[in-house]
Amino acid sequence: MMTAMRMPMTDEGEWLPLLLTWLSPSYPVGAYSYSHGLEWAVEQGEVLSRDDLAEYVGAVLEIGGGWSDLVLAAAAWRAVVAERRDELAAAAELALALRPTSEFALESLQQGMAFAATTSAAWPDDAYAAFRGDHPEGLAYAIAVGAACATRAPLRAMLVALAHSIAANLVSAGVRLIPLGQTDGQRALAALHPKIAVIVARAMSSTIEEAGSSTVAIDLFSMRHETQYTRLFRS
Amino acid sequence: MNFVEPGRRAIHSPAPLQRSEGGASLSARWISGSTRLHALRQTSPCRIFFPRRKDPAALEAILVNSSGGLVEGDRISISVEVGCGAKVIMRTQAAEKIYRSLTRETVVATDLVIGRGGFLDWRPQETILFDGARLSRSQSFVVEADSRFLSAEVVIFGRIARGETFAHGELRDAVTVRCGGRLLFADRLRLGGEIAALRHARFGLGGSAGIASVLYFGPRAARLLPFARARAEQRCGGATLVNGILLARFLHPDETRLRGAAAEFLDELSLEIATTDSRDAA
Repeated sequence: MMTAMRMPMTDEGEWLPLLLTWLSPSYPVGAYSYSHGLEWAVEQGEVLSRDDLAEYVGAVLEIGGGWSDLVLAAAAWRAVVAERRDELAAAAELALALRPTSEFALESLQQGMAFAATTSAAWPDDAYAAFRGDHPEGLAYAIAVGAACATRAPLRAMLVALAHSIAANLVSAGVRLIPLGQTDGQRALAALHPKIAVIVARAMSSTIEEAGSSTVAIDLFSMRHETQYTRLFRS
Repeated sequence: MNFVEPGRRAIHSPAPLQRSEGGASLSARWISGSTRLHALRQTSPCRIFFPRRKDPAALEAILVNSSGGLVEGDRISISVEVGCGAKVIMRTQAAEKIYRSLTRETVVATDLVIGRGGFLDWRPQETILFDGARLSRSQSFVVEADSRFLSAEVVIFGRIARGETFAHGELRDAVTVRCGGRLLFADRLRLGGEIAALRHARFGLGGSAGIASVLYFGPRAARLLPFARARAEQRCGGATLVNGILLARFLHPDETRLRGAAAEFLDELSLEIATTDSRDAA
């Protein structure tokens, strides 16, 4: 049960460290072990360069699973702030089911459960603990993040941090897989930053109906990754 | 749904504001060794025909859209209810053409309910999106733990052989599968805005002429995955299993190859399902 309505913190000295921590690649959710189909794409020669990598990650954020996650995290954030438990439950249910492949379902669920457990343990909060208790079936990553940030960080900042975190994790996977130099990886990320600003602006005004994707090519990579012979990544 | 009396005539007026708001609803029951039609309602432009029965266990039904295609503002509702233990095979008579819309969407909503031990084989012919089409389509499956369905859909982006492609417009294609009140699977394909660019984006639709999707739900879905995966990967596709639902997808730049891949895959998968079922029954 969500308790009395709490407004997101306005002091960035309070919320910025939280976002920097929760959406950092070192937050213990195992983000380093997921490539979102990239491992197969590299193996097949579909992603060979820094530009290919930026295009892949850009597609995930703009029209793929990353976009759906931004929409779902925003929906969870708004539902908690407005204390609409039915909307939060609907977003949580959709987020678990809206997974085009088994490995995309795994990466979202495993990271969501780890995020919720770690956040509850290190930043105890009664409302968040109750929210976890309401979802014994598990929590998708976007929902775990959206609900945790709702009472503690502004929406736009959360979406920027989440989009950046998805991009940084995939770029890091690409750097290891292609392989690319560390500086080239950062160049790919730099090239994505203007795109992230535009995507976040769209996500800010989105409704949950806009969750969805058109990256069927990436879905096929993910399906084929399930039986890839030699692999470093779980997705 | 509100259906008019079955006897009421369809109005085939060329007036620009004439819109179709119709549908068809069918329910079937398993009664003493055969699947029988229990209730049928149909409103223009939809009609359902029943071919001569080959197998009393299965009710075969052919859905016909007599308007020859859908335009903006058209709203079609299809509902099929397969009772406990019954088996229904649904097909359509022709490809569904979705014409250019200036403002309003074309809406097609399909509700498919399959009771305990029931089986629905739902394979409409392809949907062709003309340039400028705005289609919002939803398919909702409601199943029980031991019901089964096989569903196949092919969407083709334009009248490609005529050189007309789906470059503008919108496609929102949603599928949900619920079991025991729980949402098992949701798929939402969204194409809007710069559709030509999205279609050709190599990590979007990769220049494909369309999208073919096959879903199978049933107690043996997990066991069918290795077979489905091998056959899909031979043919420009892939397969996976999400929450007990077997999903296969295909992309190909050539529409004939795409259509062929889906059709061949379906033939093989149907045969494998039948073989697995009869082996288990023995």
